[in-house]
Parts: sequence; C-alpha cells; structure tokens
Amino acid sequence: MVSRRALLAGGSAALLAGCGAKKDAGTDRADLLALQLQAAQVSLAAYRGLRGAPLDGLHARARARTRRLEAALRAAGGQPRPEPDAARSSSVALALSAASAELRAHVAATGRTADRAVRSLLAELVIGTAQEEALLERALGRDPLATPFPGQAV
Amino acid sequence: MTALTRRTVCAGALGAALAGAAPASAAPDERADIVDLWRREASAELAYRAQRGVLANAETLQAHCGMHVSVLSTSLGAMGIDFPPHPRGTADLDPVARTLATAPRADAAAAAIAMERRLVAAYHAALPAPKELKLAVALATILASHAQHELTLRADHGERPLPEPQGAG
Repeated sequence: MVSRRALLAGGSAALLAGCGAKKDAGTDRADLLALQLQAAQVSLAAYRGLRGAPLDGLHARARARTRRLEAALRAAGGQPRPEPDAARSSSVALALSAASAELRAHVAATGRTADRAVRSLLAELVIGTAQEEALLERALGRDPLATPFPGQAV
Repeated sequence: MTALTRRTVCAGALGAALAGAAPASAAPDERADIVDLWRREASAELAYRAQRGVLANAETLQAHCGMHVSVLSTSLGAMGIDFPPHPRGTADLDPVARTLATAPRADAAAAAIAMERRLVAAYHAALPAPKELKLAVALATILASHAQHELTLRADHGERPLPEPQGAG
C-alpha cells in the first residue's frame, strides 16, 4: 500500500514533468509516454475505492487509459513501470488532485511533441481527464467551470 | 469586478501567453484549422449569448468561448491572418450554433450539448497539426474546456455525465 503523501508526491512529479512546453521540446517519444503513464497510474490508484454514482465508472476509465498508454509505450520501445498500489484510503479530494495533475501532464505534453499519432492520443487523454476533473469538482460542490483553460500549468 | 470577471481576465492573459508564439510560417492547413476553430468559437459565444437567462450557466459558457476567441485571435495575428468577420446575428453562425441560438427553452440544453460535442471533435481533429508547440498546448487546454462544458451540461440536464469507457477491463 502506498500512502496519501506518496500519491500526492506522484501527482506533483507528474505535474513537474509536464511543465515547460518549450524547453522540453523534442523529448523522446517513449520518455514522454512513460511520464503520461505515470500520471495516469496515480489517478488509477487514487480512484480505487471511490463508491457511489456518478463516481463508480472512474476507476474503469482510468484503467482503460493506463492500458492504452502501456500499449503505446511498448510500441515506442519503452517498458511500463509497475502500477503503484492503491491508496490506503481514497477520497474524492485526493482523486481530484490526481485527475488535475494528470490533465496538466497531458496538456503540457502536447507542447513537447510534434508526432501526430502521439498528439491524437493525447487529445483523447485530455478529453477523458478533463471530464473526470469536472465530475470530481461537482462531487465536492465546487464549480466545474471555474476556468476557461483547464489543464494549464500553474 | 466580479469573481468571474477577475478569473476570466487572469485566465485570458495566461491563455494569450500560451498562444503568443504562433509562427508566420504555419502551413496552409494549419491556418485553415485555426480560422475554422475561430469561427466555431465566435459562433458558440453568440449562441450562448442568445440563451442567457434561459440556459443554466449560459453566461459563463459565453465568457469561456469569448476567451477562447481571444487566444485564437492572438494566434491568427501571429500568423499574419486577418480576423474573419465577427458574426453579428444568427444568420452568420455555423449551423450547430444557429440551432442553439434559436432553440426554445425546452430544446436549448440538447442543442448546447450537441454544439459542445462538435467543438470537442473539432479540437480533437485539429490538435495533431500545429508545428508550433505553444499553439498545440493552447488547443489542448481549450479542448479540455469544451469537454468540461459538455460534461457539465449533460449532468445539469439529467443525462449520464460520463460515457462508458472503451476497452476497460
């Protein structure tokens, strides 16, 4: 089992890895995909244990995302790292933190590659994680339309 | 100044910074993509304006589309492209936005959801093309915004907010 602190640290690492659209341009495709997978794995771990509509489907969505990224990473010559264990105690706030970090990582990654296939994959990941972020914001009673530019680096 | 206005101004400044480095050497198809997205956003802004007081969150959604127009305008300017004529009335809107702008109260939510779905599809299709990396980031964050618009509209109007995952196990 990993701790809440480890999960949040993982989210922060994913965020930091996603920052700096220009300076990281030209990043190796496998490296870029590995970072996206790491961010998605943090969400997967944070979503496990969430119960009740409309949050029931979040874990399955994150699972689908990690599998797509694992396949893309292998196709790019990389080797997926093992998934972290589930959070000892999940919460909607922790899940939102992970989803927001993952969204920022995917948005920033679009500025680190000109590969059309990777950009297309990133577009799908952005759509999914943006929706999940909004759903979790609503679950916490927050405004899901707080910004016109979600996923922007902070 | 309201909280929404302050937030929108700050976000607009950040968004403009994201799109500020679009090159004058953009490929013709890339330019056409941005012009097309600009027209769709400008149409969406006007359509939501027509539904203020009718559709929940119409004012916020209008403001978001207006900020997206600002970012895309910055990109067009950097590419040396004149802004297309701003739509003035429903006759100038693209068909999906026109449907929303003219929808009666009972049909407004469905029309807005359909428009947001089309916007998501348009940004999804456009995102692979830009050679300018900052422009790609700007399109990605606007794509995220429209994905959140669609989810919020669906949830607010009694539809299942998230589609079923594909390939989940």
